[in-house]
Amino acid sequence: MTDYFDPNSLADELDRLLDGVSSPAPFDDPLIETALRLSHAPHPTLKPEAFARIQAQVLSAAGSVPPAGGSAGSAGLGGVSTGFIVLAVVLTMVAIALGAYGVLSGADDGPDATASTVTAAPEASPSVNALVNGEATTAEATGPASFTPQPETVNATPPATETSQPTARATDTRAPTLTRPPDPDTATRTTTAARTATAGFTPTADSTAEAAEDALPVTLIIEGPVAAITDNIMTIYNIPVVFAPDDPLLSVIVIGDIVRIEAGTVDQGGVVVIEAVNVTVVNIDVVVSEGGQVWRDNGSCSNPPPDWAPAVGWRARCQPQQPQPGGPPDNPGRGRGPGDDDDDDDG
Amino acid sequence: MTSPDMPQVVRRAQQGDTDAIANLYERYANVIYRYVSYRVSTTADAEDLTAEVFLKMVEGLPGYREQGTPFEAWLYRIASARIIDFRRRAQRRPLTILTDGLEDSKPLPEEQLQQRQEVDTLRRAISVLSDEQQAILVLRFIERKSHQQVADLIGKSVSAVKSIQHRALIQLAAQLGSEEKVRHYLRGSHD
Repeated sequence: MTDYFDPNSLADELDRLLDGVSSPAPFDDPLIETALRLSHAPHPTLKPEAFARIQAQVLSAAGSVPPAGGSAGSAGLGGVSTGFIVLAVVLTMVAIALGAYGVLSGADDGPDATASTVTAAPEASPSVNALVNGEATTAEATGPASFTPQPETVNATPPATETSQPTARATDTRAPTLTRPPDPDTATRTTTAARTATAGFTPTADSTAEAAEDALPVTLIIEGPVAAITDNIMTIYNIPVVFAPDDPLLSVIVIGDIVRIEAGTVDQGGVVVIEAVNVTVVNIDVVVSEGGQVWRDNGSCSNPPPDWAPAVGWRARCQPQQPQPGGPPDNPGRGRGPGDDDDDDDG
Repeated sequence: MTSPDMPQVVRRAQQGDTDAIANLYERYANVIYRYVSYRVSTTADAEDLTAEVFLKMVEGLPGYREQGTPFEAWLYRIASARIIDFRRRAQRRPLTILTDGLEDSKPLPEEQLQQRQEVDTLRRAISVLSDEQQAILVLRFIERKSHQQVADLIGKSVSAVKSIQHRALIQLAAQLGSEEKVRHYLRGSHD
């Protein structure tokens, strides 16, 4: 009969077995059996794509957390001189690229542009710097090459601006919170995103063309459920998309909403960042005014829209006799047409 | 195990050096993933929790102070807290346990199926144990830490670790269908 182990003798025996000192002869002791079974259990490892995705999230977060003993918005981090130089270069590039957006007034001057950029978006410095320090290699241009699907016949997507403001924000030098390294995997992920887009390249509609003049060119469309929202970054199909920090949609879009994002890409020091240009919430009626006010149809009639909001779905649902205030009746971005009495259903 | 350069890496990470942060992540990603994998129901949850741990790491790095315990001890504590928090959230909504198992490297399909089944079985059995018991079993037998290492990591004495290990194995053996065999242990005759 097997001796039953007390905690100490069990521990000693297990040490011998696990260290290989004792051969794992058949034990009829259930504790030994169980311990050995555990020790031979499979050792799981992160899938490569999960590993890379989490790494990107971690490095993104690293850029937005002030270092120990430092302060957010400081011009640099940790005394890494290379970082300062590259930071200046990146900010200058961003300033030049976004100069037409009219945000920066001193874009022509290299160092001054840097300064003015910092002034415009001081919080961007650490994240940009972190980004740059992290993976600042020469751009292998994986991004742009991957983000150019074949153009199709333009069928304007009317709801885009009627439900949301264009969200290209040149000041979002904070954009580089996406710090994916410029490796093939990155390109693969983004290519996948392009494939999963439910539409091909659909140049922005008439009403968005005006904004498009000042915004990034749309080279990518992503449509799908929002899987995660971290600060001003939304993740759809594992693709982080950067919004302007003050984008009013950030306050109303929730995880699970189906969104259609027309985006552009910015190459920042070798890292390609996807920035939202036009955003449509597909399954929920969300309206943004020119002043940045937001109204979201919560599915009930207890949340009436303001006068400036077309809110066709709500009005049709809750005010069937009211005339529809503008807006195309078959706007897919609104989610509902006249006579539809169904409640909205989130994602 | 703490490599000699770890304190330097940690210090650089605290200064915001993303290379150092990436280094820490690469060193411990799979360690933490293994730690959480046997304590949650699905691969997706394990991945999410792993991400949470490292995001918390980044958040807490500026305030981290080495206090004589390995850096990974801090990560394990974060992971334990995240797991507890995850369970609280999960209790508020029903979970559908997906027996997707955990993927290991280079197995044959039949072998992979058996591995997945084994992992699922162990997961279910481990899930009934206390957090402390789970942590010790995973650290001892999955991570192959010594009693002393486990004690350092979870902040308990070696004798406490041995006692908890003993009770945990009794309960786990009972869960795994050896209740008949562990009856003597369950009666506490030899505790």
